[in-house]
Amino acid sequence: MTVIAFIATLFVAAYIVALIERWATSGRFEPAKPLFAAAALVARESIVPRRPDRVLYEVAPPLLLIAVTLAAAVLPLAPGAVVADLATGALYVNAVLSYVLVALVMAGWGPNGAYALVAGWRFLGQTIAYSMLVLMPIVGVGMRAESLSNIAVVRSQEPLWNALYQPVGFVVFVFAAMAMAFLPPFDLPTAPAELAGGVAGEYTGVRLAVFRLARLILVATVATAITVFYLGGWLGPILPDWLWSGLKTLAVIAIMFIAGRFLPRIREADLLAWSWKIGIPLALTNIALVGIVIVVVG
Amino acid sequence: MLSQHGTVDTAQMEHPVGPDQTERGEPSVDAAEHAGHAMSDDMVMDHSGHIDGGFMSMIAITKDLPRSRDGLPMEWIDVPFGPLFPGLPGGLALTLTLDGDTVAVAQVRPGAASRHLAATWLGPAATLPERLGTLDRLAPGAYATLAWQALASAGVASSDEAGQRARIGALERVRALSHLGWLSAFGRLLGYRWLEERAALLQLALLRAVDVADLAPVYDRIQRLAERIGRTPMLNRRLGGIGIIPPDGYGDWLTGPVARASGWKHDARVDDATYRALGFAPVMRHTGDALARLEVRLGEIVQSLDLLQAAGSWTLPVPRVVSAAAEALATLEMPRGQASTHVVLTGDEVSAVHVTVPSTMHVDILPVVTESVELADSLVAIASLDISPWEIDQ
Repeated sequence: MTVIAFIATLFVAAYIVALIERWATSGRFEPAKPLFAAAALVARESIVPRRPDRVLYEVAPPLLLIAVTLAAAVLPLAPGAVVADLATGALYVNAVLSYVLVALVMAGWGPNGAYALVAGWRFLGQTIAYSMLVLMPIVGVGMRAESLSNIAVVRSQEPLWNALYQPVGFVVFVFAAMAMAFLPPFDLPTAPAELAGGVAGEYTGVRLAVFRLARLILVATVATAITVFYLGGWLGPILPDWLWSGLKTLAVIAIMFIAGRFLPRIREADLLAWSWKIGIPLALTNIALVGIVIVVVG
Repeated sequence: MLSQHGTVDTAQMEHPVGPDQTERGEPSVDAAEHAGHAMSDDMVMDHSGHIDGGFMSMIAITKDLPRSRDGLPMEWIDVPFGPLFPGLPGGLALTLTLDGDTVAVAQVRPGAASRHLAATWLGPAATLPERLGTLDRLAPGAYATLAWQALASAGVASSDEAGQRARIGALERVRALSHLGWLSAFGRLLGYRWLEERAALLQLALLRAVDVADLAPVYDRIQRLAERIGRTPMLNRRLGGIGIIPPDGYGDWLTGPVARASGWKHDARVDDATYRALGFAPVMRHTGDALARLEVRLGEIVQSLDLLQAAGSWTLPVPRVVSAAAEALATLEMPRGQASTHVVLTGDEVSAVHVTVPSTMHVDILPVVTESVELADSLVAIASLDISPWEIDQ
């Protein structure tokens, strides 16, 4: 996959995520809306708050964009449609997405505003809740594939998707991925009605456009990761490989947004408690079960 | 919360109490800011070689800072919420003093919605309901009913059985509309998009109903909404135990759904003969938290539609001025609680009006439901009180 095709794919993915988000949150399907919104943001004055930490303020949006782009680069849409098939690709996704935390804490601290500051620290707490729940299910995925290459992970699911082979890990990973992408009901760092936009609240114009683009690609990336790790990636009959990947990813994105529409935002204390008291035991159980199945069934 | 960049920046913070102290006698952010600036200067000098060759003492730096409940010295920051904040009613302006991500002090900054209405209330008695009806934008017409009732009780306006039923119809319609508006805003605060949209749509449908016959489909949808809310995952966890009003000490001056959610049977409708004839009984809960207040208002929406259908009409008769001079007094149960008015008439002119509103009572409960509570939970607790800035800023 050429770099140009990859970048084009990212923009198309961001557009589709914006479209689905609009549809899921407002019930309206407006194909031109994301384009107009992006044009309006780019054309709008980019206001800088008083006395920001200029470096952190300026670096946070591009850092978020770079992190999610690097994560997307190792996720295959088809056997040849991946920028880099790393031997440690599955772990690499988790590692590089840890910079989401760095970017959001920087975006919280940088503008020197109370709403953003609280939001940034909120995401730090949220990371403590979800980070292990992203990593531990990947262990189960790697155990079955006997590899951390994402191509190998998809091929290991030819007999049966991991969503059925290790359903506990699938459920845990989906929740953790939603928390990582701060999708509702895990949108604690952006919480529009609690923190007036939170970490994104002090950005305007081009800076906000970059932040939003990065967030859209982040959602597409975690949905693609779910597809690759648990839904058999490009595997499927009749249709082209890339189309299967695209359809599955679209379905995951839509389900995540729709689920958030019908749930109130989770309390941070509950998120932490449930993650550590329920999520981690479930993730450990998943690893144990996968190990037993591998040993017993082969 | 640690200050950013060595000091507290006033750029996006406000200091409404005073230059040096909060009303509780603790150092305000201004004081903390001054300390912060000094601290900032010290830190700069310290980096360039330590003052007098010493080291930067944390004890010295933090000695003037306010203490959190756990005893840690923290810089508190005053953060404005409103008058245009997404999670609060438009016009409601609060200052929350944040100690980390918990609220140390919550105060209302009155005046954002001020319209100096009292001057407009004087004039012809026949149009007093129209003028008083603009008092609360979140419950349009509620105070028109109060004015109408005052005129009726003084014998200034006709007060037959049909008129009294119309009064109940008008008031209950406003109550249902107001509660649905609150429900939509509450859904927005909770990040519960479906609730926000569905409640707003139902409010619009009820607003567009022109007579009782139009209410049946709205009634069914509202009942389904109430059942659906009861089954929403995580909602009990989100609201249960939040904003609890202690059982003792507040019963005398709380009113409306806030009081009834805490088990106090404060409802002016209980003493109203027309309501009693319609079989009215107040909706009660006893836990006194945000969940109980939600349940009371949901119950009251359904109950208001029942009463509205029983009343048969919500169009108030135009007051017919029949007396030369009178004093009129009326008390009604508004959507937010008990409101009273005292009207003095000279001829067919209103010469004085005094109105008591429920939101001013609920403002006083803010410290009880927010102190040392996490910010998100504090906002839920504040929103659950349903304070109307229009009532505060008459």
